[in-house]
Amino acid sequence: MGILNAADDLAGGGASLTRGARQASRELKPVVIGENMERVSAYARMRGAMTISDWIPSPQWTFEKNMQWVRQIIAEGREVIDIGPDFLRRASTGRASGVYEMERRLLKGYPNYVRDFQRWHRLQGGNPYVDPWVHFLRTAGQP
Amino acid sequence: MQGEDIIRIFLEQYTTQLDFLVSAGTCYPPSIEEGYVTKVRYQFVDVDLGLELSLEVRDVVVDSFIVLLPDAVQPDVVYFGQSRLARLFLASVLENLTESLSGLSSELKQWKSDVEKHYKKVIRSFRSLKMPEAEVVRELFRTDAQWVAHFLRQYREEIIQYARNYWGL
Repeated sequence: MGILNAADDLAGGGASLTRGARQASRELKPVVIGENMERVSAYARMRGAMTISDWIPSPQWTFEKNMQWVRQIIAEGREVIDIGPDFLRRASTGRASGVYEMERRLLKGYPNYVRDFQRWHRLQGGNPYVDPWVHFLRTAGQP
Repeated sequence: MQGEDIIRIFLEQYTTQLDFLVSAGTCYPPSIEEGYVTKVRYQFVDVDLGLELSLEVRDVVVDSFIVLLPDAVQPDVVYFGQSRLARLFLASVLENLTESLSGLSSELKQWKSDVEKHYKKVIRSFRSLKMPEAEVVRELFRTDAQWVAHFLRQYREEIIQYARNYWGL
């Protein structure tokens, strides 16, 4: 069992985390990561997936707990869906999330990592479910 | 230092710096929405527009938006409402006003530079796998809030006019 407990973390119910990573990855709900928690939460609600907020409420959040959480979901073998950077925020403010970058680094090479976003320029891209301009730009003739 | 301290400093700094919007009768008292993203929203009097300060605790980042109400407060509206943008970054609105307002361009650069200077300290803490000191966060938020307040004092009418035109109000 991990150090952090989620409120509702079984996709099928009744599974034990001790059954091993392969089985866990099938039974535990996937986790969504990405830049901008509003995007992440909206996408997770739509997919019935979970986010860090199911383990760590924002008042208790620390950088260290965030790292421990990523290590825990890797140890559990959960599917991790990455919806990518918030390109609009990056283009408007010039800032990238240091925490999201840390999560990406820790997940490098993780077999249950699923990338669900497009990128066709340093500051252009997104996930069509939470960044609808992806469709708009594509239909407007972007690559 | 943990999330609740960041939220407390955010609320303290931004509401202090932007209190003039309420005392001058420009906006209604702010509403506060708490969640993984904490928001302070000031609605302008007599128009369905607002100023929204949105804190993402995990990044110690505050985004400032001009928002279309009530579209921007619907669940799961990130930037888009009903097939249109419901939020505009204040920085983007100001960028669009630089041609008609002399001096604004250099103020915008200074805003970004001042915030960046403080934000680098936050990033440095994260790279050392530590939380930033409370004073670092306070200085970051104070600096940003002072700039947002400055823009709202100096260019409020132009900002609102731009938003009215953008949304056809």
